[in-house]
Amino acid sequence: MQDDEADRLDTAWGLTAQSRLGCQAVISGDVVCELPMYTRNYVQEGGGIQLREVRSARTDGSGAVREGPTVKWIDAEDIAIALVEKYPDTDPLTVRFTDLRNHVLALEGFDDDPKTSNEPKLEAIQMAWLEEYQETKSEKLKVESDLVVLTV
Amino acid sequence: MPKVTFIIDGEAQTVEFEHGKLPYSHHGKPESFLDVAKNFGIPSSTHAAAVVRVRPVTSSSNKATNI
Repeated sequence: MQDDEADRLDTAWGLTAQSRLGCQAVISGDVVCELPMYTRNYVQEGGGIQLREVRSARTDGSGAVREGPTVKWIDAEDIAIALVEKYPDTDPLTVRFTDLRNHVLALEGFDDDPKTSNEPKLEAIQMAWLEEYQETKSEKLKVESDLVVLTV
Repeated sequence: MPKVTFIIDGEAQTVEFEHGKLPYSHHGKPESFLDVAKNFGIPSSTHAAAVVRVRPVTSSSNKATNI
């Protein structure tokens, strides 16, 4: 287990020595996996707060969050997409929460009270950003490998 | 072929997959619990940072590891 995962696990309740993050523990044999009733779900719940069901704000490719309903701290997925577009080469796990907060506040279209940000909300944004970042990275790798095949 | 038993709300559901043949679901690390759950449509609301408890079926070599 890496430090990043351990840090994130520290924020969960009822940890045991066998607790892992579902996204980090790679399966290598027969295992039993139990999801605690109280398991925290940062991405879907925004650190305990349900994301809005209707989400029409989307990015326009320039890192800006487009018009529509304004984007709030709890809109982790929309913020993540905008952050990936604005900082495509930044590994979200290397960004401190203070910097992450500033990045979000600087996004065009973001409109929420800076004072209402907190660690769970920032953590939800970071995890959503990480997911988008990894997805984008794997797509880039695929494109690059396709290009190699074409030029050989 | 790894066999994974997911216990959600006390109900067990077991799935099997072959290493290297599981399509990546774009959720978590490839062949992670999250990836496997997504691939098999395990009815859970979990995403990237969900916490799971893992225990090997046998105490020998079968256990979850990190790449």
